[in-house]
Amino acid sequence: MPQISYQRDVHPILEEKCIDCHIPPDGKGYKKTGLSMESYETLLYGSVYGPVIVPGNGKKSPLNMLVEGRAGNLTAELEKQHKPITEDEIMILQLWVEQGALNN
Amino acid sequence: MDLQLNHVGKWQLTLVELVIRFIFPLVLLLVSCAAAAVEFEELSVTELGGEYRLRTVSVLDVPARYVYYVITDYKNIYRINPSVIESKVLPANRDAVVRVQIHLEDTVGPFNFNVNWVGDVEETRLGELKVTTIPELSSFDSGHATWEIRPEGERTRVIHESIQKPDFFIPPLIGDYLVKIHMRDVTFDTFNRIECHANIRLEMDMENDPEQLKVLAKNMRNCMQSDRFEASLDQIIQ
Repeated sequence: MPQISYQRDVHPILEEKCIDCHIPPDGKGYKKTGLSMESYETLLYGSVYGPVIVPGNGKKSPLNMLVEGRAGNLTAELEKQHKPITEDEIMILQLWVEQGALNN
Repeated sequence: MDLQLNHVGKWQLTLVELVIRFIFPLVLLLVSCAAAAVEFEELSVTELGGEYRLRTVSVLDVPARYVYYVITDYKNIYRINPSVIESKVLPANRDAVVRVQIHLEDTVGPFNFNVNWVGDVEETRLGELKVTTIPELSSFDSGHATWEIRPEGERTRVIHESIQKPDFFIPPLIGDYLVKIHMRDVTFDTFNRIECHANIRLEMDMENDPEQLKVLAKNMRNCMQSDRFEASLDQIIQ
């Protein structure tokens, strides 16, 4: 199994697909959820409702549930507003979280 | 109590009287405020055709992420409702749903209730939970509830509605009345416990000293003292 790097593999995905909205102070997603993806630290801090990453547990990690289509209405809402995320990108996010969501 | 005339002929209080009449009540008031800072804008319980409807709108003095954490900490529901004997998360049909089982024992006036409840919790929108009772696994004919947890700066507005129809016998008139009063009291108590536990979570997040963390963890027990919020409820009722 390849070692996933936050800087090399994960951040570019977030930058392309998510950061436009999840950036303070005016990003639509940031204003709605409080989730800032501008840095590793803010991503790990999570939204106004708590962490979105559960290091080591992709199954229970809300971010993974959302992008994998496992979060019911929340996923539907995400799909309406966000750029589509590919299967490869989903896999990278899953492996990264499973490997401990490291800042590497 | 004696009032004394001072040298210019005006009534004056002795030090003891001053403490008894003014300072002691003030301290009591401050202590009760510190114990319960939840603001209730609405707390109503009604019954119609065997269905008990609860609606509450409250503002908790703690950020939403901690309130959300406590409300969705399904394995530790006993922390916010002392009648809960056991709670656990069961396997659910879908990832987006959390199936929760709760067993509680409660005494309402002369009546003892042993209640089992199983329900599915789904986050329908961010910060909004929809709860559906599973009648075939519960002591209820039907039921559903919603939770809206809305951040308001560093505070949190919580709107909770619940409609449940028990399938166990509740004696009419006096039983209904007692159950409604009990539900109101339990709800008041539960929301204060939610705020109390959420505040401790907040403090734990801000604390790095392991010794202080142990102290904070022990403080959770203080949130569970059953008589902690009674004085404040009396104030609201009056």
